[in-house]
Amino acid sequence: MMNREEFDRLVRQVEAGVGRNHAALRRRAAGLAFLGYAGLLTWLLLVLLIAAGFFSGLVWADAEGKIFCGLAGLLVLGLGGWASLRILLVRLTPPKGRAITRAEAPALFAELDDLRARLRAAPFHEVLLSAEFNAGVVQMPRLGVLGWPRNCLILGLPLLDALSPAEMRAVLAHEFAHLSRAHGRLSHWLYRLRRSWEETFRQFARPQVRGTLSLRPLTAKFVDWFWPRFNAHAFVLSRANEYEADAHAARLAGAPHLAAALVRLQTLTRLLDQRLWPGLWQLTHTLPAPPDDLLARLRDGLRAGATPEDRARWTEEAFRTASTNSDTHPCLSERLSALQVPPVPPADTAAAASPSAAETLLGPALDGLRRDVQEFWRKEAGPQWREQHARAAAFSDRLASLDRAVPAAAVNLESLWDKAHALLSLRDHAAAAPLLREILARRADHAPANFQLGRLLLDAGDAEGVAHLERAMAANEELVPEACGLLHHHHRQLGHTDRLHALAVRLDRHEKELAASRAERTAVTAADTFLPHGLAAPELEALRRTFAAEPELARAELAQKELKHFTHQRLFVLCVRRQPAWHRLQDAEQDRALTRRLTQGVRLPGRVLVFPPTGGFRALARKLRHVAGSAVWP
Amino acid sequence: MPSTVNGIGTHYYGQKNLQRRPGPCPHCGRAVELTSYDTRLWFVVVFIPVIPLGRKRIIDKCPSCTRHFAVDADKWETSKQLEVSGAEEKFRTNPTPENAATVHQQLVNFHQFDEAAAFRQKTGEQFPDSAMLQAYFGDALTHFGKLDEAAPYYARALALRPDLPAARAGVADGHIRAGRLDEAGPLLEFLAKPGAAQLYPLAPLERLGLAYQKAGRHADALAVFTKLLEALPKLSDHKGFRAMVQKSEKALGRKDTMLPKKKFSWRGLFSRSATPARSGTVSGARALFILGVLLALLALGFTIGNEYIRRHRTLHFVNAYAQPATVEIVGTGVSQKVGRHESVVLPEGKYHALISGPVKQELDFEVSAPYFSRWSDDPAWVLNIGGDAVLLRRAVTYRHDPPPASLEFHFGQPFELIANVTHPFTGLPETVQMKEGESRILVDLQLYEGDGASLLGYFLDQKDPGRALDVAEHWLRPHLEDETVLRLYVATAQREKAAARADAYLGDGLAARPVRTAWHRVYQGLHDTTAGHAALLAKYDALLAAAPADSALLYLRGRIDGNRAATRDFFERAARADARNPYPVFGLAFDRMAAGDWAGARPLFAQVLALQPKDLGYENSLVLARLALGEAAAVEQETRERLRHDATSILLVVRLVDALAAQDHRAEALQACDAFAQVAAKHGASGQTAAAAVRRHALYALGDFAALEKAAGGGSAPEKTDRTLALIEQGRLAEAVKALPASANDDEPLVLALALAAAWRQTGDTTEADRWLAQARNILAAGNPDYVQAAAWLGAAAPPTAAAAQDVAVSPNLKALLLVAVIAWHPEARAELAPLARRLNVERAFPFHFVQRATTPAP
Repeated sequence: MMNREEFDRLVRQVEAGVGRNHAALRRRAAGLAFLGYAGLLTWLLLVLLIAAGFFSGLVWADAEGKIFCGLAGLLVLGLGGWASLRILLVRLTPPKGRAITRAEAPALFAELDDLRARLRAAPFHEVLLSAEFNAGVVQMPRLGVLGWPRNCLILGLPLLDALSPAEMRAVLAHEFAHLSRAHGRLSHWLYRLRRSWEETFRQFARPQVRGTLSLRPLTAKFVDWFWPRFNAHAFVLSRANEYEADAHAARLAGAPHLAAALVRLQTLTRLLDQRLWPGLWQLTHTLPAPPDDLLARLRDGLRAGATPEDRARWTEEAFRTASTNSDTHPCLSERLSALQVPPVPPADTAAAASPSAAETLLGPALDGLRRDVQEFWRKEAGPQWREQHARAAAFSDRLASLDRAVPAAAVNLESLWDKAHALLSLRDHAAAAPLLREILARRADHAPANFQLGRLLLDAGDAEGVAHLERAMAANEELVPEACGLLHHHHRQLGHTDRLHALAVRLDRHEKELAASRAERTAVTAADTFLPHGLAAPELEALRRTFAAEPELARAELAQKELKHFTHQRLFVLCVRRQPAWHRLQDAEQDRALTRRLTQGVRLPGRVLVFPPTGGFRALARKLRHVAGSAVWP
Repeated sequence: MPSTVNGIGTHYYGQKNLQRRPGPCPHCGRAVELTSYDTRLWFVVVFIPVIPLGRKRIIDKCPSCTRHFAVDADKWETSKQLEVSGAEEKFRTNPTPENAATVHQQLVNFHQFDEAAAFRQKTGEQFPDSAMLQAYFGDALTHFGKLDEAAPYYARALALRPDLPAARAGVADGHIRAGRLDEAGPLLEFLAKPGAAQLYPLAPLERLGLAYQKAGRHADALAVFTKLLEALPKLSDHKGFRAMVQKSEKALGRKDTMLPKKKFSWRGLFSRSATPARSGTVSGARALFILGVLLALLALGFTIGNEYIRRHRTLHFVNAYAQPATVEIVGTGVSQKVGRHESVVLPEGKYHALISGPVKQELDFEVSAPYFSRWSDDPAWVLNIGGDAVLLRRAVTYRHDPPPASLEFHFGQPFELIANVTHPFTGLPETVQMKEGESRILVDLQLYEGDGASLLGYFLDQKDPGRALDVAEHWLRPHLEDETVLRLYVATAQREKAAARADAYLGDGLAARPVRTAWHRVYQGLHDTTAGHAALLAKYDALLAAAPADSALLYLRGRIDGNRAATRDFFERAARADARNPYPVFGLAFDRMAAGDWAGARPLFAQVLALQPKDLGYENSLVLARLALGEAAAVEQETRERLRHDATSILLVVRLVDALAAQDHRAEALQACDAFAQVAAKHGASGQTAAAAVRRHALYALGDFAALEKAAGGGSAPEKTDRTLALIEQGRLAEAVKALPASANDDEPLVLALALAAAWRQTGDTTEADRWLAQARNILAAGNPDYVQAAAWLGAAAPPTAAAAQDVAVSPNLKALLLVAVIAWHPEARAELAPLARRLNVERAFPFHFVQRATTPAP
């Protein structure tokens, strides 16, 4: 599977190569799309060919042959076809929400009809109202990777509450542009196909469940090869598509409204993610079930808006955020620049607009719809809420028992970490932070504490968190992916594009090296490269003292294996040779006994392999003799 | 795992560095003592290690199911040293409880339990206040089944940190095992609190519930189960959990259950538990699909093969007629000229054939086989022209000690499917390469190339006269002049009371032209009786009238004429009409022979034989004439010469014996028999039977009747006949009468009756003599006109004259016996008739000696 760095390199290659010619890029992406279909349909085609072979027997075979061929053909077609289609028919989770009818919201549908007509967009099969702060068109392919989409427009009620009608029109126009049949039909098709396949192949990569009959692994290798290549081409095309969609939206709704919508979306997303939602989930500590007025609370929170400090920081970060290859949407500044709007935040974008798009477009039905969406969300989030509630109760109990069991005077590192962990789980970050600092005061390299404190600091916009995360990664390699994710998010918000690239490279290298280093550090063969041992004189002296205690030891050769990954821990190989008495033959068992004794006695600054020059180690022993300075005994 | 088949395969030998530990087997799940050791894998033959395949480390071998993990011993050692030393080095540079736990984990991972124990001791002192480390040691030891060793670590951890969940659970588990449930309960209270399942595994709570149940504390058990169900509602679907709860509820006599009603699910009936597949393993479904594709391709290949077979069927044409036949299969473009055997390739289907040539026939037939049998069966479709070819299907078993081939004759069907023929119309191999002990049956199908008489004999030996008649009728259609088969056919038909069938069959062939002489002769034999003679004459007069110059008809008309002079005239006319027609010449020769004029007969026989050199009957007649004329020595030489090339010929050896007997070379005659017996012995039972028959013939020819009686002691019909003859020759007539065979062929009853009549007369028993004479007369009276004429001699008031006797056309030996019988009743005619009888008495078979004695001139 291609990693991020390789994917980024591929995207850059596409941009620098075929991407400069938009038509050629379209053709190349379309060719890849057809190749994808062909690859995915290979098994189905094979099954169809075999079945056709049998069915052709219905023409030329005799009566019994016709029966046999017919049954065999049906069997192959039925079982093989079913198995092949199962590869392709990936079950995607359909979008959820409260379906709105034309009668309930005539203004909304009038707006949608108008935009659809202007952009000659495909019709929607369904319009859903959800509790998310988002709006989007979801195409659910009825035939998995084969397509035949069902178009669904999802409108988040909080988004409708936040944006003005004109801003909402701009957002909708942007989404409709992706379905447009007016311009760049092939580009739009490829854009939609990429989004559809992205979700499909994500499902594809999910671990298989034992006991279920699935032949997906048969196609997985092809998907691993094909998807990054198609994705890279389609990605470049999709980014251009986003600009095109913005242009359409600006044409239909006005560039200032689109710009205001983009800025407001950025600010209010941070408000929701960092202030409103955490506050609402905090209620799980006290409420066993989700509250009845969640959406009203969100609406009120959006109307109240961010504090001036938050607003200033978030707005600044929104303008600093750089584009990455993890999202086809360009960053805010680039989008505004493309719209030829000055990179200055419009006024009053730190709170919900008034009147809101919800009030205008949903009209009198708004309260009823809000109740329905609220109820829908309660049902959806109910299990997770109850789980969180139970978890909070358990952690509260754990905290209480800790306080009871460990008096303040007897607090040690372990109990401190246990307490901090419980507080972090209860999202009581304010209480957890001092404990984490205390832990680090006692042991500066405590990896989990560094990680958690770094995360809290970065959430608060404190760059000191970077250092803690670095320390966490240094102490525990397993934390690298998660810590890199946090750092990536942080640097992106601050517009540190150079660091973003370095982080992506680091993460890729880590993932690649993790498996390679494990293989490298747990095996030694004669094919490896060996270096002089490089021990300091005192270390060598200590080693010789250990050797001196073994009268049977005749010779010893020491070298260091050349490591390519995670070189901080060295790997030594030590060949020990026994001098048997003149009247005895070589005894492999005696050799192994000597090796066992030395294994327990030898202490070197790294991993050590002690072995006799017999059996499977003969070649290794021969090679070791040729390493400069390897003879360390006598 | 190593495995052997019949002692050949792979096997472990040797055990070093043996380690044992109690624990559950990861394969069968039983609680056992698992062993780990170093060993060597060998390739073994009869369990003797032959080739070393490498040192192995056997890990956790289960004594119950014997399954285990095996790794290369060197790789294991390398990995162990590197991982342990790596963890130790990290711990040395950063001695934290976490790193200590890592070192310990590596030690136990590689089964270094002693080193792990020492390490625990050391680090326990190094980190006395680390409850987490103590609890970890407890967990690690518990995982490896060392529960007693784990307990103090848990206890120490609990003392340090009474809140530590792992310590509480570990100590509680110890209490549960010791039965101290009241002490375990409070320690596990934290697990019973809401939300605990989100943070901790509830297995200790389940163990507590089970312990309560085991202790009979069902109320407490149910309380625990209730907590478990509240924390994990999906447990209500778990079969085992439901059984546990129901057990306690039943023990408490509760009617209402705390368990929710289980929902029925069809999917649940069929789905297996969903557990993640192991990475790197080929999923069953994938293998199944690949297998399915391969099977489907294989099935498709078989289907195509089946269709190819269906479209390429071989149809064989066989023709027993001398004239080639032409077979046209309508609508296929096939028009095949068939000599003996031809074949064409056709697709299966229904066909219409037009046959022309020796037989004109139209035929509808279908070449078809069941679909699935096409892959395995070896059918042979045969279009048999007129149904008259005889096919021999021979199933031969190839093995070390093969049984005789199984034979099957097919005839009479114009179209026939003959199943399981591996070699249609091709010879079977002499040898076949097979595995030792293997047996294989190959089947060929050939046109029958033997003679017709043997074919009939086969069916008669099989006691199937009906099939014998059937095969004779089919055989005779293409073999019109096979008089042997014709006579056998008529004789069999008469014996089986099927004379009408034979009459009808033969009658159908009378109108055929050119005239089938042999056919007519047999037909005449069937009708030339006293009652039928006039009609037969009229029939042939009519036939002759239609073709007065037809040599064959002239001959046939002449041979049924009662007047010998007229007969001779017809024969001479016939011979003149067609010089190549052997029958009238033979008739004239026979006429001379019957008159005892061997010198006159001899050139005529020679002439006939020149016309039909392969006819054994003509040859025998010539030999008889030569023996009569004293050419025995020449016959002997010629016969010996021919025997050198054909040592198995019964005819030749009998002829040699006769020639030697004629020269009174007794010893040489018996030597000839012995030599033949040696040759015949190679041909099994049939050869031995033939040799015995030749010897009996020789004994009679040499006049050794006592030896003949002894040699004919068996129970077969020929032996019974020979024994009867020996007794007659020895004058033991009463015994001879008792020994008479039940059935006899041809003239045998007549000869026996005549001999017995004459013999009884010679003894003076007139009653018996008259009885046998009457019997002989009756037989003669039922015969042809010559026989009828001869019958008149017997019991007549006056004996025939020698001239009259000469004019009756019966075989010389029979006429000699007739004359002996006449002499017995008319001794006064002896002087006139005895010389004629002796002249006729040439053939050295019964009644040669009887006639010789009866006609010996008085001294």
